[in-house]
Amino acid sequence: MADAGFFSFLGANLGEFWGFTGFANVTFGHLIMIVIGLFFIYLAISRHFEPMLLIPIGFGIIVGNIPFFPGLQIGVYEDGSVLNYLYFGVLKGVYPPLIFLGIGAMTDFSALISNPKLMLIGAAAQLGIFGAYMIALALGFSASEAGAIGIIGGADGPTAIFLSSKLAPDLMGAIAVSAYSYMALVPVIQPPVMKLLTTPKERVIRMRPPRAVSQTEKILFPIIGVLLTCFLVPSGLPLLGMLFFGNLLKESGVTRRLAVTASGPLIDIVTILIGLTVGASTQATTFLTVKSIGIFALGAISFVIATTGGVLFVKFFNLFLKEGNKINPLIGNAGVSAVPDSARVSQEIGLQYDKTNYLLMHAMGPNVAGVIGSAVAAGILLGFLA
Amino acid sequence: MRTNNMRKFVALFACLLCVGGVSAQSIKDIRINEVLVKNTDSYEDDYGHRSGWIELHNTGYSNVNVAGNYLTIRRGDKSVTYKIPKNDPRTAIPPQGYVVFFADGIGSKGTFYTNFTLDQTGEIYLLDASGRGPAVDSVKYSIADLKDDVSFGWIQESPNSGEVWKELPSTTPGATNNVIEFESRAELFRELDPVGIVMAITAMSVVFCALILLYLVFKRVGIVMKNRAARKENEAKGVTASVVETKKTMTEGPSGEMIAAIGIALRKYEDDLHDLESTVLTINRVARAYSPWSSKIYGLMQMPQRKK
Repeated sequence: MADAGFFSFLGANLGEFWGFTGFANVTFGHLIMIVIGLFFIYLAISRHFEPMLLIPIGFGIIVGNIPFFPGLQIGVYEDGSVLNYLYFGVLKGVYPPLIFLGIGAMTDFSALISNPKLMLIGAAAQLGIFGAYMIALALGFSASEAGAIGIIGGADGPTAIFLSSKLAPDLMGAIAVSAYSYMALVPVIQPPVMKLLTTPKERVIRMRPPRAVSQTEKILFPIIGVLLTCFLVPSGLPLLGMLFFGNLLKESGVTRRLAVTASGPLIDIVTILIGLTVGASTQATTFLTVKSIGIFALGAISFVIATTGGVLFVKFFNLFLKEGNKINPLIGNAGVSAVPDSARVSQEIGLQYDKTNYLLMHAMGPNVAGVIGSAVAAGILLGFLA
Repeated sequence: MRTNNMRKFVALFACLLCVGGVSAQSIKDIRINEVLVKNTDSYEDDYGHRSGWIELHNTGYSNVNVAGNYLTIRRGDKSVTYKIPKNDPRTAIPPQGYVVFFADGIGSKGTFYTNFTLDQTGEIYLLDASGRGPAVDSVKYSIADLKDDVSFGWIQESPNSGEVWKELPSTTPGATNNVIEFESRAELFRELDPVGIVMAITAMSVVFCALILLYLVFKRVGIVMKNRAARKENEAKGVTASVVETKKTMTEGPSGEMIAAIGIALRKYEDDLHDLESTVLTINRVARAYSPWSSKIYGLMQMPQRKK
């Protein structure tokens, strides 16, 4: 009798334990998300697609989709859990400006300063953001959601996370994963558009080598940059302020330690945290929705529009430039931010048509201008829609 | 040396002035947000009494302590002043927060009870800690125009309008006066611009403006820098031939394109060298100072050896 009581107690305990395991709580959605996480890790390790981002995001997706019994303060959406505390930095838009600080501290704006007209390409490529915004509105997304989805076209992960955390926190996981995925796929998405929109003659345009830029100009750039852009769009201050501040740390020449920290350990720590928590936020219940599919489709479209905008703008701009001063339209794609992948695409495609035409340095100009442009665009969307 | 010290002193003084200016500005975030003069059946104080009350609101985004500042009522030439007591933590108004002062004429009942009443026509002033100078905020009222239990305050009448001082639909002591819910800005924007074309045009124009401004400034900066470099070069022509030769070599050095080409070639070469990274074995020589304390031989039992 005592044995029967013992075994029923043991059985009940084991049954209760079973109820807490992932096996008892697993759903088909969890499994799909775990497979997606594994696919991201595969892409990062095997294909070298943005490994610094896809490994943390991929692993985060796995972490976020381990099934568990709710209420134990484990999940990213459960108040008081460790993941929830880490997620706070994403939810409140803390991490993206810190990443921008690091980006500023590691970006050399020389290419842009030496040929400032390349900045305009960075502006033209933001067309992707607003093209996607219009399509999202047409598909029935709310204005805030459309703004958050549109920013995927800026090809800037931190900016996308920052804006979506303010405008559409529910969609942030899908938007962030979409933005980073397409950034990783820039070498796949952009070349066909670039080839389609350019003639063989345009692809071999040789650009004048950039002039040497003095230290004074490099120091002036972040100061004038922050004043001009933030006076115009104060809502972009968290991103632009940190970007230019980081750059001043780098260029001032007297804060080397701070610049090294911002561009090294700090950005690494924040990248780990943002990647893992954004990944973990893609729980099957919130991620596997029809809206997410729409967001992925719109993300791809926005990248195509942005690339088209950049390339066509260069062609248009060339109409007003003298022979010898013309810009190779193959650097138009680089206006979509995604530093330095899109500039690398310009270089690779340029070399396919002329083995001695190196476009990388020229493409870096619109590339970094794209970072500024997308942050300004995010500020505008925030100003209008928040 | 003396001039240098003087400059440092002036700079420090200017900084202190700036800091002082900033801290003094925080009281400016406080405004008289709502006033109820005739309280017959409305908000009761902690003693269960009804009297007129004044609500202060912190419009800023940091804590503002109103202790030491003054609430004053002026009727013609006469005025009664109430100094908000210090040492009460409740006088620190949180960002976007509210506090209510009961004007029951008995200042000794507590921090939030003024020594004046609102039962006659007058003007309420909020003065800073100096007790003089321009008022931080003021409100004029006339007893004859006021109804029982109807308060006046700042209210937003429509989503895109600013706030106006007027009769409120309901009394809201210690809370926002804007109790009417409006449609979100984003949705209002959508109603006006359902396709998104206005947003696209506006935003693209602003992005272009921002980058065109940067372009124009740095185009100008570039011209100035080029001229400066040319001037320096001309000046350098006057120096010895060897120096000129050195400069010439420097300026006629490899172009940016060549440097880029060399850089990329080297990178590719290095990438090829380490194509199979996982098979590269690196052996680091590790030198450790010997110490008998860490030597395992002393911890082992010695094998017995037969003596011959």
